[in-house]
Amino acid sequence: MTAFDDYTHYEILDLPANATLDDIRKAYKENLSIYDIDSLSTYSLFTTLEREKILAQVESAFQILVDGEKRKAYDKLLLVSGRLSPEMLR
Amino acid sequence: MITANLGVLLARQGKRVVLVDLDLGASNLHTFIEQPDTGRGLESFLGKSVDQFSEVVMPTKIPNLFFVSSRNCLTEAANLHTAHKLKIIRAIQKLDFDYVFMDLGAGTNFNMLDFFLTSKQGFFVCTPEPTSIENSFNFIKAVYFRVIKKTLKQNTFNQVIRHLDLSGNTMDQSFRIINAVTKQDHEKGALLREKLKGFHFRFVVNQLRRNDDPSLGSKIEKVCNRHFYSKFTFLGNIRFDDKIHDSILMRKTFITNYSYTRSANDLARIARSINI
Repeated sequence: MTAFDDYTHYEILDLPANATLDDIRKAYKENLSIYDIDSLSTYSLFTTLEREKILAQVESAFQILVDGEKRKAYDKLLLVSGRLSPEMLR
Repeated sequence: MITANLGVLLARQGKRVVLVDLDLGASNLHTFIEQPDTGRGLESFLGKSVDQFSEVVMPTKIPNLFFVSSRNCLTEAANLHTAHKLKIIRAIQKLDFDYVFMDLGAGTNFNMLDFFLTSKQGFFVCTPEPTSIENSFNFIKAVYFRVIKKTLKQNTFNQVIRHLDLSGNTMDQSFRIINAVTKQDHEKGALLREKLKGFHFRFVVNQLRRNDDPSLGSKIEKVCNRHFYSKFTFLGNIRFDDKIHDSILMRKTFITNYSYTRSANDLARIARSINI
């Protein structure tokens, strides 16, 4: 619960599965600002370790979703596991 | 200030509203609504000079707005005896109004938390300052801890925390307890999660100044919804206004005397969002 352990990359960035590249970049920037060490909204909520873990998850989510090939492979995994339906990708 | 003005605004919308001043030992809500000392309040109910709680629910000069004062409670009233606390909570739960606002003081003492937990629709107020936001997070954590402690029997609670490192005031303290409970008893863990999910915290950011980030509340809402079990709703900002200070100096209700200000509009918008 402290980090995004059970979240998909889309959920981590708070995006729908059919998000555009522009949406992904915007959401990434927003998340970086929210979880930044100097962020007024979270500075007192997390320990350094918790914050590092969350930021690493945000980074990993972004690196996969922003890369067309990696995103396709990831979407396939989500479809197979049932965490995503084909309609959600349209 | 916010309790008083939201109460007035909702009463003006035709809702029957009662404000209960539960900032015991530091009560001042009466000043915000220009309520004179009627000689009847919470102390009359606790001291048994009246039989029913309804006898201390006094009308105000605003139609539909009622008030329970604690201005004459003892200075030490904050350290309320458990029996008295339960008596107040039971009486409040029986009140037949559209809205019952319990105005609580700051802090995380047991009495405050138990009053807050009387309802699943708690409000909190923060200002756009790190110290205030930190206090808000501490308050949420304290509410979670209290719910867990009250739900688990003392023995179970002690047994669970015996093997946990609960030092500090970290965000995941409650989650570590819930995870440990779940490992021992899956149903009990699920029950705790459900209880916490049932709470709906609403909050406002007060005294927002020109250079403050107006999206701060939305960011806090997002973070809380992601990292706590409960639902969080940001109701809006209330802009900083010297007129609020002026109204307090004059001991006048802000919303009735300065309804033309931007802060009054902020309060009105928040009241409309509550009244749905």
